[in-house]
Amino acid sequence: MVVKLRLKQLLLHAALISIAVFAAPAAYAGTYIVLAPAQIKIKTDPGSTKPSVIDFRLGYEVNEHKFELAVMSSMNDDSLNELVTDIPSVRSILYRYNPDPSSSVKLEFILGYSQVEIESTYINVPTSSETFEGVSYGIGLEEALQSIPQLKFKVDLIQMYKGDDLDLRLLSVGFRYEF
Amino acid sequence: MNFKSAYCFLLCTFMLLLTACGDAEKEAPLVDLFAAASLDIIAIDFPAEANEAIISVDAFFDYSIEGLRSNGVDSVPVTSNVTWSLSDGAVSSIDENGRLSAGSVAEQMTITATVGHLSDTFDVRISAAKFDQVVMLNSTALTINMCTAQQIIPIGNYINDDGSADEQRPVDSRIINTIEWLIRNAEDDTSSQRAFIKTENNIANLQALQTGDVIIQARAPSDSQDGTVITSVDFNQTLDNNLNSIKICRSTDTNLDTCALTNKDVVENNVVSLMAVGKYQQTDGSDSSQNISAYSKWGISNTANATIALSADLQQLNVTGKLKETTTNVSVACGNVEQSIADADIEKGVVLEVPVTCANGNLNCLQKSETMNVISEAITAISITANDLDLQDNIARVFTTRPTSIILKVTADFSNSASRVVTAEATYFNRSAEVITKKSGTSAEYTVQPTGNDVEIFVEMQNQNFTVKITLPN
Repeated sequence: MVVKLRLKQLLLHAALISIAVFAAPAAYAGTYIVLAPAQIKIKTDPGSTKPSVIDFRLGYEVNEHKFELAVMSSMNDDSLNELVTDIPSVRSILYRYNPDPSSSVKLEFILGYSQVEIESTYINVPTSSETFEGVSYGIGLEEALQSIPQLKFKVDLIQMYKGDDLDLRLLSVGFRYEF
Repeated sequence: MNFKSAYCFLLCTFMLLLTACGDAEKEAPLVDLFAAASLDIIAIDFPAEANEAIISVDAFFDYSIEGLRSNGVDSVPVTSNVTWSLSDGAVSSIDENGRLSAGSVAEQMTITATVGHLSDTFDVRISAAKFDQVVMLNSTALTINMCTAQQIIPIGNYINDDGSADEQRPVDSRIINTIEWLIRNAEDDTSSQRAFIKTENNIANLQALQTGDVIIQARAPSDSQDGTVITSVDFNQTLDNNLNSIKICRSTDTNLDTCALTNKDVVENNVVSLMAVGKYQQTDGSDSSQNISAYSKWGISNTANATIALSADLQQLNVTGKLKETTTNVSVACGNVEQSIADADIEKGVVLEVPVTCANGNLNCLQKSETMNVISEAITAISITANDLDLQDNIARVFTTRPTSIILKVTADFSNSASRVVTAEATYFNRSAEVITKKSGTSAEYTVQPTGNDVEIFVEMQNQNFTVKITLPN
């Protein structure tokens, strides 16, 4: 039986996480933004493409927890022979957990929910667009620049969507700025 | 770390992953486009010449499709990402490779091949008519040159249960492997070695080994006559010559028009692979070169120096060097050679332990021979020990006690990654005769004299040199 993730469940889980986070004493809290070029691998058994997107995120950090809203838009399409694929938009809600905030190079676990829109064009086939949504998870690494401590260099590797025959994987490399 | 938060995080992760699920139906249109795009095709079809519209009951047939490239011009066989299916209610079945296994009853059905969003259909009739006999050697007239091969599609006569003729069509998979092919020379009706028909994996290949006219007959058990073996009528076939020249090349050569055997060395205990290349004159006057190793006759002058054998697919001749510093002639011929050939050798490929030759003035035979040099194994490095202590080239090894003798051991690394001791094969030059003297009857054993400290021996093995240096205490 196919069980789909409902928005209600997601909100419930987000609420559970939020309760746990805000119940803890806050040593540090603040907002930040992320700007990064990113590549999303559209992977199927027969083949794959890697369109590029601009990854913009607005986040809030409390101790070892971060909450992010990510919005991405197309930068470059990618082709497999005559098949052209593009990603006009991505929307994600992400939670990041850093088990060791004191470390200089921070490793974070990422969990969230994403909607990825894919546009495809092929010979003799009308251009079509489809949105895939589901649980996202991955890991992130970041390190602060010594000259500007509030500016961090970061790399994210996120499984945006894992379907039966389709995988969408994000590689994002950019900067995070804490206000 | 806040353990309460961590616990909550892990719990939520687990729950979310449990509820995560893909949607194959939603993904299908995109995945289908990838399937077609990965093959760069925009349409598929069943080529009529490669697919059968009528199949006998209980037989099988391998269906195939072609894809039209995105340039709209080229067609390519499509073997991956294909989904095969039969129309509803079919008793027969088809597997993932397109092999249709006909059921035991006559029926009409449609085969559908799907590649991504592309599909095509092909109508097939399963016929209960029984095989009678072969009535044609091939569906079309054959033109074939000597030392080449061509697939033949024998046509059989099929008869219905009531004795009425059903149709003539390619013999099915149950029959083609049972056919015994009889080939005679046309001019004197004697058994012929000019051609051979080999059936493998339900495909019959006519191999022309010489030029001339032959008569071919097919002998097979007839289903319509309760298994009685029926011999077909005579099929006349001409085996053309059109061979302008023959040469020997390395099997790794890719340009058959220009290849030549420039490196004729074969290392002892190593293998060199050769092929015979025939240059044929086409009907338009142009030349065309092809590998004719399988249908040529090979020979060698001296099997003590080197041996030859055809590869399993008969597409190359493997020459193995046996005795270094010797030579041997490898010869190849296409046509009726002077040497007698056993019938059994015709099928498995002709390799003789004598040179193959064409008689003077025989225009229906071409030959070529090459002298191969059997050389020593190529040494890539040597290492030496003295009294079991490792030495370095041209660097003195200091002994802590003065031995009464020094025993060298030389080990060579060969280009085929093998290593072996070559102490007896190396050459030694003692540059410290006042300190050590060679023991008679040994390769590399030296008696240490009472005085003197510095030992130097120059060792040579093929193109590898090593200077042994040892410092002895007093």
